[in-house]
Amino acid sequence: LTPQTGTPARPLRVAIIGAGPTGFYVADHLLRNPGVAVEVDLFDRLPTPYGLVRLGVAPDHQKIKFVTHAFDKVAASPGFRFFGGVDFGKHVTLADLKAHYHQIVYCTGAQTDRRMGIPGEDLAGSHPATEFVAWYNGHPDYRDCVFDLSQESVAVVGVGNVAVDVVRILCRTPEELATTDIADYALDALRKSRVKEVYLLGRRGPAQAAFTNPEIRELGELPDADITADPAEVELDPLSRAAVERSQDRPTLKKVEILREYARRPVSGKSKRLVLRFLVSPVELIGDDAGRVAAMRLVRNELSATSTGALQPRATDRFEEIPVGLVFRSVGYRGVPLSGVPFNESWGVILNDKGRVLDPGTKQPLVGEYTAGWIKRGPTGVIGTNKPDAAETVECMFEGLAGGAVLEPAHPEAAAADALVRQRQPSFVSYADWLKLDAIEVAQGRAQGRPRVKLTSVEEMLAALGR
Amino acid sequence: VREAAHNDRFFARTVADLMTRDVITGQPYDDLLTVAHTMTERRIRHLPVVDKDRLVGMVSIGDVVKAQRDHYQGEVDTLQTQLLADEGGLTH
Repeated sequence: LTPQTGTPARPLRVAIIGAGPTGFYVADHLLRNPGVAVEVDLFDRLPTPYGLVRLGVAPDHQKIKFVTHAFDKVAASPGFRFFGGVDFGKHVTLADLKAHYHQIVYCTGAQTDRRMGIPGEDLAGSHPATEFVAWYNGHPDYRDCVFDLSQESVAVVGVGNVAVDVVRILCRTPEELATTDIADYALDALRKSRVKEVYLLGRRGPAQAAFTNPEIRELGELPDADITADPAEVELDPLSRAAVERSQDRPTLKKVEILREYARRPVSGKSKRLVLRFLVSPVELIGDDAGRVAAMRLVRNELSATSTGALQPRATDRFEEIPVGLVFRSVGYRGVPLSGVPFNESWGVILNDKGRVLDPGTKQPLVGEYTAGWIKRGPTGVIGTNKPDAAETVECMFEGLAGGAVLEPAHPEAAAADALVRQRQPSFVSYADWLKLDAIEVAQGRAQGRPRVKLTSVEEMLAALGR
Repeated sequence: VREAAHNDRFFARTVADLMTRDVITGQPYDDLLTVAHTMTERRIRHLPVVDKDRLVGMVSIGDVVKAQRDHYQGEVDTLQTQLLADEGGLTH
């Protein structure tokens, strides 16, 4: 007689793909449930865990990275294993996982950016903002990117937190950055930066800007960059004013107040200038003879209300041109399809209902396949938003287990999965290995008065582990 | 239903006689906060979402409440983490 799946004699075996915050939250919810015996294997294509907490969160925002302590606690739970440097679809396939696990959870995030869809977007000097972010954070896949920081004028398109991070890093002094865990090569490149003027471009008005008040305040406190805004652009249009008054939305009123103060501020002669612009959309990037970005053509927008009262930008016939030599776009993100996993192309997420992956034909849940985080619902919210999202998915997983809807793996033993990974990717990184790497980075950082000095290539990491 | 129980002619009518004609519809990129306000104020429990004249989904007031709850939970969690960072310092 085979014992029931989910009992100590036959634990529920789960593979989680993606070791970002969501992967850890899913593992946490699975392992802390007292009624079900669970074993979790957390896979990541990179040797290091934490996803965007390590490779997305800005180096001058160390406090946000404190959440990794909670992830380390999850990793210390019995029944948890980490397989870093193991790429789903390359080292292990969906068929491999189905032969070793009862349930699979995809938590691969939103790995690609939306395009602006304008002429000149692919000129040299025009980049997705996330490439710059991944580069300065020491992402092994982006360490060799080159950004022309000899340009004096830069435009960052979008007003979300990625755009704000990019602007802030461009406006910080090398001395400020030198106390962070920014990648060493990025610090060297930014020391030589000749950037003087940085534009932050929002397509809607100040009331609709996605940045938070702490984020926009921080931009006004940069030691060596003056912040300015156009007084006319930071005034609320009648529709926005009515909406804000109707909802008595205090944070938005405060936001507008902060921006108005920036518009009144006199220029104090700092070496860089940060220009906030609203109600403008890029319509074309204009190149020079060498095929490099030389200018950006903008259209002025006005707002119009949809039937729900949401305010959307509408282009006018007024245009302007700003000379810029470097452009970073941050106008939205979307997930990347995983091989063999149903995908909703129009939303850029895995086809799912509350985290149950759906069959594209029947729209019924597939047995044993789940998803959580940004690849489930799209890139919204803060890190912690993924916690209730993961809880919802785990609830569905336990429901599936109770209803007998789990995969029937031929090798449901932890040792068999371990043997598979060792065979396919002998240089995988375990959590114990990661903790060694972490200690090395922190020790190197301590010597320089920094939180850590990051290892930024897979070879470096393996060498540090003596392989 | 009660009407149908004692009125035979009821089922001779069609849904066209009953349906709301001036439907408020959402668009995929409407912001949630505005939509939440509109649904609350106008007592709309279900909002059809239309993209380029095609119905692409429905949002219920329950969906909106849940999204807001998750949003606030996430913010609280993130703020707590940062407070812990202040208390415990950033070293291990």
